[in-house]
Amino acid sequence: MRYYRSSLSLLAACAALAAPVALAAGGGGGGGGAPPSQSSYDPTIDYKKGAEAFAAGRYAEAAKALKRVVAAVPRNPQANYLLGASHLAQGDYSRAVKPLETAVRHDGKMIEARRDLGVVQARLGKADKADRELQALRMMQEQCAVGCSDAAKLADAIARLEAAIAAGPQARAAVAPDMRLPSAAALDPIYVAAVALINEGRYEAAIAKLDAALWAAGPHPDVLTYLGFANRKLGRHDAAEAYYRDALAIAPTHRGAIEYYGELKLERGDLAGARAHLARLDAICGFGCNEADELRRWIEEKAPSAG
Amino acid sequence: MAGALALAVPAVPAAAPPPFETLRWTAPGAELAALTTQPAACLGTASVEIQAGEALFNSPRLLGGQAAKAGLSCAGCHVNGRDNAHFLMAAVSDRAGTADVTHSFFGAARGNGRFDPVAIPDLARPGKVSRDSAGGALESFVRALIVDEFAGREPTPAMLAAIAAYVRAIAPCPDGDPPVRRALDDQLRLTVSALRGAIGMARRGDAAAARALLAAARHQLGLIAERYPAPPFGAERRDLLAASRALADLDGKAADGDGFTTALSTWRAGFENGLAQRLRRHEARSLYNPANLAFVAPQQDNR
Ligand code: HEC
Repeated sequence: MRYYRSSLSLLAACAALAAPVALAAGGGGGGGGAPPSQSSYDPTIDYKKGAEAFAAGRYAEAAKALKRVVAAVPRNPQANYLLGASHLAQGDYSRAVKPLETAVRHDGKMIEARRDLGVVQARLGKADKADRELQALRMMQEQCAVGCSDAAKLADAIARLEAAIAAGPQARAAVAPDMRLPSAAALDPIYVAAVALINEGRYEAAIAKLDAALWAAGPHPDVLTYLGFANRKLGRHDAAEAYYRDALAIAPTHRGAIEYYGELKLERGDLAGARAHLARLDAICGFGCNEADELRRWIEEKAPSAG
Repeated sequence: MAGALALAVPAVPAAAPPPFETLRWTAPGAELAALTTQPAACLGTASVEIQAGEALFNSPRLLGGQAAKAGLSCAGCHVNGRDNAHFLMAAVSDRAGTADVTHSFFGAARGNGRFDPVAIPDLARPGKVSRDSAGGALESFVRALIVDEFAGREPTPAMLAAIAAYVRAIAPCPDGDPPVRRALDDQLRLTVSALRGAIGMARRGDAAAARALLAAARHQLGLIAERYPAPPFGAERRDLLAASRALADLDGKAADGDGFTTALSTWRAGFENGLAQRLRRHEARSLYNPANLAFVAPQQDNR
């Protein structure tokens, strides 16, 4: 029960999730009017199992848990990467392709995913596809000025991928995954730092922290919601929307995600959509809540220009 | 730090959310104490202004950002205007009873880039900030707290004056301050204080303050709902929700003068003579009664 003190649970609590079994009390902050959440699957639990098994080298077990995470949150790059890398480590190259491709598609900057996707393609004899990942990594290397924090990691990934391409499909040696996961205990400080960065308007830095939180915790709705928020502030509306939708797929009554998604709709000129989000918040927050206050104020202020 | 945990954080229904708001910032092992006891409050005679100030002091929606989203109000740290020995929040506290109020987690304006939690002071004791009403040091301090530290919206001058009046009225009790029991009456009193305050503010033409006080009242109704789980209190919960929605419907009418104050007076009379009485009759069976809170006894750490 110590999650009570977690800063991360501040927002989780705001999600007005299903009522406790023994006690169907609604949150004093306003959860009382909420219908119980429809969702009953917590992907962070399987993510944790998967990540632990992965770190311990139990790849079959890791793949099993991570598959469930990916089924629930198909776009999540971290779970897809770990799933692909688990297949790769077991020598199951053809199964590794799809999750690694998904990881690359949704996080083009994930060096490990590009490296391992390239290695898999090389082992499968698809030299052209392997080369595409190599070129992408080289491009990242060019953009990464001498001292950039990923310089060493990029150089290493490129060297390994070059070696895999040279060896081709004949290579037999197992590919040991090279990925160090942040410890789960690091999550709270990472998350708090990310929120502080958002409050300071340092969105790129916040996104890096939130990505680290995703590695540590898996697809947590609070983290996804703030990723949506930071991307929205940077004008990446499609990315923002995808994060909000992922958060709401896991936690349909997540107040923060409903509020911010409503604000995004307003920014896009969809006044009716924003109002629908406000109505949803009013229904969830029987005793009032900050998220409804905020969205209402946005609509009052912006409606004339947006509508 | 001890209590901050990561993957122990349930994202979703698999594990229930904290059933009581206050437990979101309560140190492990202190759950029962936080839910059943509080530092004593000795306000002496409380004017309508002081009561309004106390209601705002207890309203998370006076603040903004993370604090408001979490349901944290001034009173989350200063219970009854005093201190909170059990307060513990990841990365905001370094041990129970402390908080870093210059952390960008709450708001950027006062974020100082350092983690420097200090003991939460008892506002009944003289402190750094002068309580002298000449000069208004307390008003400026509270305004900066709300707007800069906790990312809240600009309070109206009357709201600030009310909060400052309340803070000035907080005093130690003559009997040596033994902690007192939490009870339904805490919430009923604050609800009525908020309504009285809202009527007063509306009469002065301060619609923003009146709306803030309606929000304060609704929050107290929510805290009552936490203590009356269904079953068996399905009907009471529905009525609490309906009472809250009736106040929400008045929100847009705060500038309507007499219509608004009459509607609030009617609401208050109905509440005090109806639902409040029923809640009182059932209080012994509710979760205000420590005997019914055995399930919150300190949990084992099972990690
Ligand atoms: C997160 C916990 C927290 C919250 C919420 C909080 N405070 Fe405090 N408050 C503190 C701490 C810690 C200090 C001591 C700061 C210091 O000494 O630098 C403090 C100091 C003060 C003081 C100065 C006491 C003195 O030394 O004279 C006043 C007055 C005060 N708070 C009022 C408020 C009001 C009003 C609110 C709501 C708007 C509020 N506080 C919300 C933790 C909190």
